[in-house]
Amino acid sequence: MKTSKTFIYAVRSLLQHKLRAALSVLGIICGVMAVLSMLSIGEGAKQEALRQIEQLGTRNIFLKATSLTTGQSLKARERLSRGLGFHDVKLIQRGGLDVRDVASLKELTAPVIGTTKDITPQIVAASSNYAKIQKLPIAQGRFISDQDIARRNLVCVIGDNVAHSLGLQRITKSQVRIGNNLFRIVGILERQNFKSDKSSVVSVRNYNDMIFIPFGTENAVNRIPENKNRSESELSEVVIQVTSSDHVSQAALAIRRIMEVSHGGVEDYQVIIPQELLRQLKKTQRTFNIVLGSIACISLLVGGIGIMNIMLATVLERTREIGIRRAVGATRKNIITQFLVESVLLTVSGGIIGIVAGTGGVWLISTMAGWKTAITPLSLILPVVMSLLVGIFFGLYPAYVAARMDPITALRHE
Amino acid sequence: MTELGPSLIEAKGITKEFRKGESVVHALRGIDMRLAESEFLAVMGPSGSGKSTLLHILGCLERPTSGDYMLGGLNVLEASDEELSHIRASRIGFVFQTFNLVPHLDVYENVELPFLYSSFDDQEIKQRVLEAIKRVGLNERLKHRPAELSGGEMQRTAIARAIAIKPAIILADEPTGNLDSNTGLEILTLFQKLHEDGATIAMITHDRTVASFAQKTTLFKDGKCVDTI
Repeated sequence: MKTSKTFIYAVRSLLQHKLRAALSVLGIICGVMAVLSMLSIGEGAKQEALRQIEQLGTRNIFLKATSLTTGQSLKARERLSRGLGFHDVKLIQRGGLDVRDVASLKELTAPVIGTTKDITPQIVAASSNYAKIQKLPIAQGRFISDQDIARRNLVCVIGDNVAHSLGLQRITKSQVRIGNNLFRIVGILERQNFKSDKSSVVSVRNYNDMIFIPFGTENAVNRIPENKNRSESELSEVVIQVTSSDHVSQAALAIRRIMEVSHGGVEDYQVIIPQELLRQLKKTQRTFNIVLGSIACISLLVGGIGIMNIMLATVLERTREIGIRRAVGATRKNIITQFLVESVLLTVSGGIIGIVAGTGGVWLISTMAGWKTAITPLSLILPVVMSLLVGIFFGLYPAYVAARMDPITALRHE
Repeated sequence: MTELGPSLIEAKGITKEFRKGESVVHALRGIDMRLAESEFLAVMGPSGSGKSTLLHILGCLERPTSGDYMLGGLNVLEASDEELSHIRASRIGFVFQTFNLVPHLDVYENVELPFLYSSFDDQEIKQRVLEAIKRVGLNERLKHRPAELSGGEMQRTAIARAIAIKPAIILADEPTGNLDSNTGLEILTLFQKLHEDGATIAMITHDRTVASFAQKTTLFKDGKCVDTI
């Protein structure tokens, strides 16, 4: 039978019952929409998490001070743990590990005078190599230098939002009052692409809202430095850069051991390994994809059953036509082809409508819920291929029923 | 009357049994039949005499329980289901009492239907279809669907479908059964004309007047051929 004719006649016989065809593909449309949206949401979440993890650096290991409960701080004092501090940095540097560089950071709280109300700048004392390890590009001026730290210079480097908030265009001779003292602005960071997302796997710093000051000048921002909380650790964060990403897990193991010994087993710190997070993310992503994929497949399956139902009804309704076609020379194969083409046409057109509707749905989700979504070629091809397979699979039985009919009985069918 | 040509159909000892639960219905009880090329045969008999079953067997829609059937030198009983379909597509033209047109196809498409299952090129198909439609006088009705046609026109469409493939034999099952006598007469005249042009026709009827249009009439009773006039 001629392919073009088969196709044209299939389209025509489907158009005979437009409403019926439309209703029967509804299941497929919903199924494909589900597959597409789930793939896109999953992919979007993955890309976002990957971006965040990569921003942390896959060669880096982070140590973060954790706040302790009363019981835990008692235990810490008992075991003589001093919390995360420079002594840890020294131990790691001397540990003979494949460590290239270690940067550290201390979070501070102090009022900043002159900024608009919409931002709360985060003040941190940092080591001079922090910008290099975290790959922070400087838009103007420079980052904190070793000299600043040695001389305890009252200088600062500010994020893009802080600069805007202070109404700064240039850094020349600008100063900002932090706590008790005036700090000279020596550099402005380039604007970072930051999106606050509570669901993210890792907390990424918003460098746009940050003010960096040199280590050693922390006391200058605190109004009453003597009143420093004793239980607070010396450092908030230590970033360890390993020589190559292959050595990360090995170095992490050694660092964990060093920290355990030095802190007497008190968990007043947290080790974050982006590379490990990446591995975990890929693993959870796989599970996520399987679960979502299965749900989407079930909806496609339900759609397929709908198609089978309609095709069986169509075959029954067209029994006489089948008889006529057989009488004028159609083979069983011709009859199977005819009905299979119809069911595949139904499901594939449902698939295409589903993709169009699904793309709209995905756009709606990302606009309304603010989720990051990503439509990949796979998320477009997979639903079409699946609807094609559903069409073949669920069309096969009705087509077989049609082909099996006895031509004479079919001709006599009223 | 046309001279009898070489033998087209040769059937010997054809029997057909249908099983209905425990009981066996003998539809045909040993039919011997010979039909020459360009012959116009009427098979006459009361309903239930097995004449339709014979037509289905001759038309390769059904296989006999036993017997031999040669169609144009080809042993039909040895053919597979697919081969039987090909024989129907190329050598047999059916005309039914209930017309059996596909309701959602127009006249042209209904006549074109058998060509969907053969391998002619598009130009040839178009030419044959239009020629057949012209022969039955429906060239003004190409785009009409069966529901828009009269009974006579529907039967003409069916005849056009049967003759378009230039079949070895036209098998007609009560072709005038659903038509009024005038229209029936028109259809029979058409058959006669086709016969004069060289077509081989086997027609089933229970009506003596209808049978009189044929060259030869075989009388059927209880699955047996009782007489040939």
